[in-house]
Amino acid sequence: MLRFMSIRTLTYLILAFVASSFAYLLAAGLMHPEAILYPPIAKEPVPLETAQQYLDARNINPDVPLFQRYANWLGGLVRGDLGVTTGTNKAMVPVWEELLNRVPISLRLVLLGTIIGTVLGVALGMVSAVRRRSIDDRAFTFGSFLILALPTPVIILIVQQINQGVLDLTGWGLPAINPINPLLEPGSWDAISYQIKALVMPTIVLTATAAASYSRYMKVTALDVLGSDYLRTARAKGLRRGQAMTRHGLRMALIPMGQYFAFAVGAAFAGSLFVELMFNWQGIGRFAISSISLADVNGTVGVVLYTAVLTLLSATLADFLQGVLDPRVR
Amino acid sequence: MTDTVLTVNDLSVSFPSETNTVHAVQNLSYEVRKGEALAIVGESGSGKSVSSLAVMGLLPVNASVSGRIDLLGRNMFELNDRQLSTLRGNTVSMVFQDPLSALTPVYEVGRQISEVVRIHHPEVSQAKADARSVELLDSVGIPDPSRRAKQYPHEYSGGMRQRAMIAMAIANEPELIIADEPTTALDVTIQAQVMDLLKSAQEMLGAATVLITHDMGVVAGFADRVLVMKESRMVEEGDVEEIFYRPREKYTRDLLAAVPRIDLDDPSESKSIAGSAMAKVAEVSETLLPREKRPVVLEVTDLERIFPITKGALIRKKIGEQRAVDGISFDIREGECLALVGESGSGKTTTLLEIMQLRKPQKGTIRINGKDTSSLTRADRATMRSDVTVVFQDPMAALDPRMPISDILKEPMQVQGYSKERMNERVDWLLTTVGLTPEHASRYPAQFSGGQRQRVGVARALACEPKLIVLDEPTSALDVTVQAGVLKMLADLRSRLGVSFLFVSHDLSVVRHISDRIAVMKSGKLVEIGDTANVFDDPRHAYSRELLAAVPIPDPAKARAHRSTTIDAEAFSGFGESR
Repeated sequence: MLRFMSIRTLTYLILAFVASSFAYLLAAGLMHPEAILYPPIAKEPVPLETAQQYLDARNINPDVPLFQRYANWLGGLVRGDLGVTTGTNKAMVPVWEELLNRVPISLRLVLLGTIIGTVLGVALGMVSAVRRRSIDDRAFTFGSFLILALPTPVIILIVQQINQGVLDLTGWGLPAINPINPLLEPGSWDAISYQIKALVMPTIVLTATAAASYSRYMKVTALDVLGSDYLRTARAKGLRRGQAMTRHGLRMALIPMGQYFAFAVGAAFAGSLFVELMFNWQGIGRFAISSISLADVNGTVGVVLYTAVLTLLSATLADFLQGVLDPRVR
Repeated sequence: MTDTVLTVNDLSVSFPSETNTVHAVQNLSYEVRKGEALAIVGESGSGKSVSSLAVMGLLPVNASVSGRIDLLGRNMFELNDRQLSTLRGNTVSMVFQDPLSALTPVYEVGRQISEVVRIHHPEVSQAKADARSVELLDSVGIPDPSRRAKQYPHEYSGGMRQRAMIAMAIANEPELIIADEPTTALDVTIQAQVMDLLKSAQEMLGAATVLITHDMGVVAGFADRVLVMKESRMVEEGDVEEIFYRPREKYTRDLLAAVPRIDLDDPSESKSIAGSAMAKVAEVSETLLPREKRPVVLEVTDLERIFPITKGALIRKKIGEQRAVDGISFDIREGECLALVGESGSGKTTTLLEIMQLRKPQKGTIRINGKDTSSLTRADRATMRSDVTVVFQDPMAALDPRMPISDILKEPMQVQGYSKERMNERVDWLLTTVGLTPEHASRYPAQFSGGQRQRVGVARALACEPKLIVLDEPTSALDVTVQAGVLKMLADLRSRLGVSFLFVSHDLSVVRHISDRIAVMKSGKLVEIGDTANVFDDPRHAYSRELLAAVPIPDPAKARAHRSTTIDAEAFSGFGESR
């Protein structure tokens, strides 16, 4: 098991490296952060010397060959330095620092959304399969297809409007936007409870989308299990329907689901792009969108590296889950 | 006080389908008394399995049931699922057909056995139930039971899995055991062991047993009474002697006649359809030249195929080898049928694949019509494909479901460049030859029964006038009466067309009347090869004798004489007090 895991980790490190290298070469080749030095952004001409200094400090000098810049970036990567933010933003914040600030904000969203979404999806899919063609099954099926059909921003709007409606009617509601309230004293109970309340709506959105797709997969695998011989054996042993399904069926149905888990994290990240924008969260998703629009080469690559690591970690977790669930692959 | 355990009265089961209602069982009535073994015999689709699931109360929800089933005086249809659950696994237990899929793959076998104990006796501690499951595994003859109990089903062989299923079924000393085709998926020697075990378990517990099977041979040694079913209805019921020696209905006689007999020398004496057809063949082949003077079609010398067993992900290390085929030699002459017999895993299929590849084997030589396969060019090999053809085991899987029969038959001829007119002509001829009609050509495989599909498979093998047809267990997926028909057709083809067969089977009784010579294979080696009559009358190798002894004989008196007690009754002495 240890050997297996270490081989997996090694492959995943290589994959993360390949993904971010591609991202760097693409971003550095296609983005033009030097545009800031020329009209229309620059109102007056920048002296050549200053311009060169500005570009070299950020490793975005178009006069330096692409692979030279890539080599510089690699050198930094080895030392744990992801470069500084570039593009039309002159702030020059280290990307590493930017990521560190933003990851905790995003990660709680993505993790909560994925975990609650998968658990809920598994439960709903199971119920759908066991009570096939019942009212419950039809309702879940309709609901999940509705959610899958709606674009994420529309779902966000619906959730926000419902909250607003409740707020108007009862005077009690969740915070509409922002993950934290800067007016409250940091660390106080009020601040913490505000953070928790602020988390609810974004999590609902991510959970709903994750549960919708997950319950579809789960229904299919659970239906397979329902027709299986071992479930009939379990019933013949004297287990009632529900007991047989939870003791023997659930674990078998979960085995193929483990592999979807990796994709679920990726989907949650994509969902978090909209969520962070529309709830005004200063997380990775927002950073990703702004980096791309600002032509921030290093920032974009930093985000790619982060998502690669996140996806590969969840893939590792999925492998691990499968190993735990299924003795045949151990 | 009656000792009737199970009474089934006027049972009918039907399933709604898209177009009409399917009547799976109609007006079935029977009873089973304590300690009695009833066999329900019928072909696939006769409703025998559905009737037993009805007894367990495990029919699919969309089934509609009428009639009455009483188990120990309780009307099963009046009980709810909770009440039925207390009976299932405790008063009535079931052994299913395919032990691979019937055990949950993700739980240890021991745990699955202890589970059935704890469901009905929740007061028993897990540790005690585990100890009990080891005891049970021991009693059904699983070696090293305490280690085996901790293993998962995929680490068990087919026979061991079925033993574990039986251990599970007898764990709570049920009043009634229902065994649904318990040995169909097993090799013939394993089948004999499992049936012996089931019989001993039943006798020890004094339980009533319902055995569901399509195999009359299995019935003879097991049952006290036999119920024959056909197309959802009961045909005949009676004592085992009555059914076997004095069957009243024609269908029962057909069923009996279809079973290949190995205990009778003279085929005509067996009343067997297959046997009497083969008798004719025997006469024809006598007019042929003696074996030594006929040309050799296939010659295999010192064939070896060794698979390495490797370990490691990045750097593969060879840690051992599987000698799948270990230096075998044989030859087949023109018009001859050689049967290759052995259990699963003995290397039969690997041998076939090596021959069918038409390539240079790892070691040894394969000559077809005197040509060494290692010297063939790509074009030679393509031409030779028409000389050596194959009929596969599963007729459902071997035909493309989206191609009409005519296209299936034409495909090999197209490869060999036949003209259009010639192909059309041959399709008609082929279909007539295998006992179908030319009108069948436009149909799709799904419109045929299993036996008809296997005939199509044979027709395809015949398409390009082959010298040798390799038959890989061609009848093992078929019902006995259908099997007899296919065997008869094959025997007929051989005598008419003079084509040679390499007939692979795990069942000696099937090849008795069709083969001239028999090669017995075990662990990659040929342990015995000789004329069919010699092998049957005087098997020289111990393994051949074992194989012969394992073949079920459809004769109650002879079968009973064969039986042996295999269960370890000690595990059950004082069972009640031990927990």
